[in-house]
Amino acid sequence: MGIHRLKRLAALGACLALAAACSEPRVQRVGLARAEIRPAPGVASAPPRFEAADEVEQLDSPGGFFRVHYTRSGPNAVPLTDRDGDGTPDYVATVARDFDAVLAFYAELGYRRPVRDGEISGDHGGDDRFDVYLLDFPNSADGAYRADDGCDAANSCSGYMLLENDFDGRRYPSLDHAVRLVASHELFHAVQAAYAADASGILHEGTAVWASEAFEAQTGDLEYQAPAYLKQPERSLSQETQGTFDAFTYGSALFFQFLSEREGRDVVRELWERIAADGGESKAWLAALDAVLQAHDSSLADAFAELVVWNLYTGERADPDRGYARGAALPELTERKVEPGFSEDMLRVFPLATRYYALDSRTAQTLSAAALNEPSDALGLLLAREHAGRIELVQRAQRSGPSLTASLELAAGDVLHVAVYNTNAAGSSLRPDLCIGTPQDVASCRAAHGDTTAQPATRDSGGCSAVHGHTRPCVGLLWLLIPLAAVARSRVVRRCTKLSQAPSA
Amino acid sequence: MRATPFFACLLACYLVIGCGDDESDSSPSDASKAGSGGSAQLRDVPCTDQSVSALVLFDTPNKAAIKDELHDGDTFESVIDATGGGLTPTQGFVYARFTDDGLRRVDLSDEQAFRSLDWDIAFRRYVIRLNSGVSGPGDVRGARTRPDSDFDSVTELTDDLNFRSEEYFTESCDFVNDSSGLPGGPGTALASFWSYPGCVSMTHNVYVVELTRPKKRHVKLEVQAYYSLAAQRACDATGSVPTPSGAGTLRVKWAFID
Repeated sequence: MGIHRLKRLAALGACLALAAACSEPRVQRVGLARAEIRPAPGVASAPPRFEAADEVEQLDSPGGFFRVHYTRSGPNAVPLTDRDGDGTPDYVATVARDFDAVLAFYAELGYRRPVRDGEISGDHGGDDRFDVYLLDFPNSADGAYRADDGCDAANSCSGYMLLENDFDGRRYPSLDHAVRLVASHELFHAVQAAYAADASGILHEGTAVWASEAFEAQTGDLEYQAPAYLKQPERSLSQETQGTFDAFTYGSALFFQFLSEREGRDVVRELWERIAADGGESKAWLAALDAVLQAHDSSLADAFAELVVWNLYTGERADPDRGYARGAALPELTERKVEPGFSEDMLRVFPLATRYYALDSRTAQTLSAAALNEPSDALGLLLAREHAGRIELVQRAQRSGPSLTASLELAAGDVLHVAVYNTNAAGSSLRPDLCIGTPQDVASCRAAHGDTTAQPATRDSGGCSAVHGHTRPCVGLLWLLIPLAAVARSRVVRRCTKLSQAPSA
Repeated sequence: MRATPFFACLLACYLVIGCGDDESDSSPSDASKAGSGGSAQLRDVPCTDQSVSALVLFDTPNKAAIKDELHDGDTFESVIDATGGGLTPTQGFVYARFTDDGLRRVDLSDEQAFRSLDWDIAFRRYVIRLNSGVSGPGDVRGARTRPDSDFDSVTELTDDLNFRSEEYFTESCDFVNDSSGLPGGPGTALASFWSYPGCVSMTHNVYVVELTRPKKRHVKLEVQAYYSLAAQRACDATGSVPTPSGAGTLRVKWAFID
């Protein structure tokens, strides 16, 4: 489905140069035709579609890959401005050139080309080119890729494109901006169809937004869509929405941006190649992604655990050395504000999802967190200390039996961030009991929840931390609670988990 | 809570000597457990993971307004702010129970509602859930009256009422869609109060809802509007709705019948 409105002004910049660099045969008009068009006049296809009375013309793109279908009158009419006087509306010529530019960019990244009409049986759109129809969308959508029935044995499928005829009433800063953004998003759906026949919302929309960002970051679509993910990080990246794709589905593009920045942008193409090699069933994309990341000496679980940290480096806490390169353009993560003594029973932590909490430290003190009564190794607990607006220490809790515990020392005015996450890719949610507060608060909470294992220490401990670019060995202080009386303290050396995105100076 | 007696005592001691505090004891869900005779009597609600994901549920209560008007001595018209933050919800359901004094909001989060018998019915956008089956631990069920029924004609229980619990997930927790034609809507017991010819149009079906707490009683109920009244009339007549439409403000007419 199409992209929605944008807020940011964008320059055409690099991609106009790319378009200019392409061989540029004269834009070719191929005359009038009314037959053999998929959303054809008089054909009861799903809207938007041409009116029965529409005179539909075609323009082939300079690169020859696309055929653009348009009309000059009626509700589907394109803007008729023709500054160069070549007889073709400038808007139509722009669409043809921009689609060529986007196609060239994706080819440069190594992606398969969309399947053209000539590569499948039957007659689609009147010739072998890939068809783009300029039509008036009746709702807020402004572009769509639609798959044909034509898929080959390897689940590589053909389709066609619908693009808003004039973007009238849409809040794009310019018509050029709108075309380049929607073309880059929707054409990536056509690229996806060359790898897989089915559609997983998060994979398809997430990577399409990511691709649009890769094509032209100035279009700002990632920054527009990602807040929906950052507002609901407790939602799972592995569970699809019912019905139409919602904002979270598009916002999940941030996960692919993270992968791209962490592993290099080829990782997204490698994912699609792996899906195709596995039979073109994109519903199993997380298993394919895990295999791809294993080839990068990582794993989906490791990557997700690191995403949990990167998401802290957004908004005013952005730090390109530790997180997203353009994290300052993103809003800060939505966290639940809590006070010392906070507890929650049977928290629900979905696969590939995180619950974030923030606690303002009004005095210099040690603060602790514990996730109790959940034995799954997929459960993670992470503490981060924010000082003067910067995340300066990140610490992952260590497991003791069914519980995870960590502590940090904070100065007055610092903020403690707590993240509880699940690195499983599927299955039921994990249900720990959560305690956050002073060591005494947490000790009480643990006792109330029947936990008799390690107690939080009074100094930065209980996990593995990383400061200024280096992981360091960690020595945890393990406190054993003896009811109401003596607290015996023992020091144990704990195995550190890898903090693959270590903070740097 | 999952505290053993020993550690419950331990906690009590800590509280006595001021070592800590745990305010979760007074949470609505726990109060609900106590009110229903303890958590041991609560039925585990199946498919809660799937409910949270599919319905987009939240763990903080939605305290949106419910306003009642009393008509003819025994018929209420309740107006519920079920906007839920918008078409892509950012807030949970509004939970309520039927009382002789009107429809009373119960401040529960969606998560707490899975463990509470204190609510009968919940509202958000065009979804109305009852406290039963996959929706809650209670046994509140709904039955649609005959198609030719109107609200005033329903005065007593009849043998043809087929009461349903909430079953918008199968036993294997697969989602069951409603029949509105709009994808993503759960097939709740009362889902047929609307259809979708291009907007949320009222069917004016009349339902009987069977309550079990504090005793078995029955309510007749008709949803009159999802939009503002003028917008609803336009939707029902034309299949499209003017803007602004006031979408998500439910107007429900109801009365006890026993």
